[in-house]
Amino acid sequence: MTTSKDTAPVSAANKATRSPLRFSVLDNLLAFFFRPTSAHTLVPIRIATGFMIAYVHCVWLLGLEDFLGPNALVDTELWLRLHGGDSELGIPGDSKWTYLAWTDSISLIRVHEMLGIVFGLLAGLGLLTRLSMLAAWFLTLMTVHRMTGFLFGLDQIVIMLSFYLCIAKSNEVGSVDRLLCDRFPRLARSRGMRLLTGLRESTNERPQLSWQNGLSTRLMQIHLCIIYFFGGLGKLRGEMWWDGSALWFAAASYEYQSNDLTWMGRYPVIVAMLTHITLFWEVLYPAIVWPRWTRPAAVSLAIAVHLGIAMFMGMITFGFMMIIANLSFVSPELTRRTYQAGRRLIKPRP
Amino acid sequence: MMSSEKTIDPEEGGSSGTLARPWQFLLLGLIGFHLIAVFAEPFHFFSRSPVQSGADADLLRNVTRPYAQFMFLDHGYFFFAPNPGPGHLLRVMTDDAPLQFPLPQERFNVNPYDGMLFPDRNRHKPRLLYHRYLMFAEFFNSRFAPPDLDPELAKDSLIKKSWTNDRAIYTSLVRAVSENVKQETKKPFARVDRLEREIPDRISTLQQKVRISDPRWIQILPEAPVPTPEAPMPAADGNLTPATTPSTESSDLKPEELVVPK
Repeated sequence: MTTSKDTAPVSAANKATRSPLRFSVLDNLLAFFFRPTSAHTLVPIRIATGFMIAYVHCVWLLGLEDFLGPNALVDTELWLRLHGGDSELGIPGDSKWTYLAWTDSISLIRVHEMLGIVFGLLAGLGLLTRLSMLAAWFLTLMTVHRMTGFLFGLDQIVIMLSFYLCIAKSNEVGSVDRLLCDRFPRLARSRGMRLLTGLRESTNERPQLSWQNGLSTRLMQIHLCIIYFFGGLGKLRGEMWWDGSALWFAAASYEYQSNDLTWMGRYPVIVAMLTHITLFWEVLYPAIVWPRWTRPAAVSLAIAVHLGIAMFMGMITFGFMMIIANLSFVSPELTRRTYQAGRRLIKPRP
Repeated sequence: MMSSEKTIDPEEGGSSGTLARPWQFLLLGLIGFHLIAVFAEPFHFFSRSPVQSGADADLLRNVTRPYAQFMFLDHGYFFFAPNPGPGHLLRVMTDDAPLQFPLPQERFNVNPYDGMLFPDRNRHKPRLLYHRYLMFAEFFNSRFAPPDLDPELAKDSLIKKSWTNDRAIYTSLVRAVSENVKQETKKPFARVDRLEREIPDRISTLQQKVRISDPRWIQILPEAPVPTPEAPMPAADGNLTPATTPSTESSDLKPEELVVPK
């Protein structure tokens, strides 16, 4: 592993003296999860996740009376039947607990959704991040549990990313919290501010490293590998993914279609090739995303696939968030250099 | 806070938050449990067969299930898998008088916009809102349970118990959807139709110019089992026989003409 400004040397994660050989696996494991890392890669993930949470709650507000409340398409009676089990039939309930199942009050539900918007925006901006990200995750989780039947991949990704961001110190850079701490050191030193932001007053041009950022990134990466691995295995079971027609049948699904892709049917070789590339990329993702020399290909293909889903299959939000999740494999050093290059472009040195 | 923040690299000027080793061990255990929960749900989903599910998958899932469910980790990640399938819609018809279920010959002559449609491209905007209703239509269809259980299957108490529960959920779904639309349209009677849109093959779309939005691809799914027409076979060259796709000239198609193998 290399040492840079953005990741601490491996030994720093474990200050104990060099362990005997039998402990080396454990040491490597601890270093893998707890290596202090800068927040540069987590910044775009935090911004996108926070604003997406706000948008998701906005959309729930738009259809509120169909989704929640006394006249919902899945009303509380039905929700309880779906999740509460049936003692007479000996069917156990599940653990999808939400306080939104206790009330049909549209006003209360509206307040809940509006809080979701507010905390999502705050988390995206990086203001009182420790509190706002936790609140945004929890409020979204509560709504998601109540919204049985209306959910899809977007909700899975948003909940996943926001939960891991609760662990991170993603506001170390590129946040309003950091701006406030730098401008108002006295405020930053206050106990309340430190509790709400998780930041200390000190800052300089060098990136702040923390184990929370390393752990958060690792969990995102592993979770993403599990998603792709099982997503790929599911496709391996389908003959359309083998006979090369799956992409056609996905593109010709009118309910999903947002832009017409059926012209691709004129080029069956390309359709089959893209189908097979998608299949092999998805199954192999956990294997090819870790080695440095294959990682650019794995992430580039992920971006291409999800861009296609976003542009042609009507899932702009899902496609976008999957691309954002893939950023977790981009090194903080590269992200920081990109920021610096961008800054130089906007503000050239005299 | 568990971290003890220390400067580890003064030359570079960065400060680093490292975690004391005992805390690392404790957290490693929690991380292990969390990752097992992330893995266990799709693993269990995949290990199922019509006969049983893998005993190891059962064990892992039983241990982590409450946590996985509360944390919203209980997914199979079956995105467009195993195959991209037909699309489903819900159409709710309302009237001042009770509505009859469609006759078999009416099932293939559908105007989805006759009633209130879920999802409706014109009504449900932005796209995320439309997608929520699309997911609901898919969910509704996936929860369908026929009104009667085959007498042979009913002899198995487990199957009967499962069917009783599924049927109760489905009738509750129909009731909730009907009430929602009746409230909105101020009509006393409603009927919920499950619509299915077959995905057309390349030939009918590109050569015969039948648009994928054509309502002739839509049929009303029956509420009770009906004898299924014999599915047409693919031609020797692997392409679908033209008889399986709707003619562009006729709008009065028979059910078997619309059945396209998936």
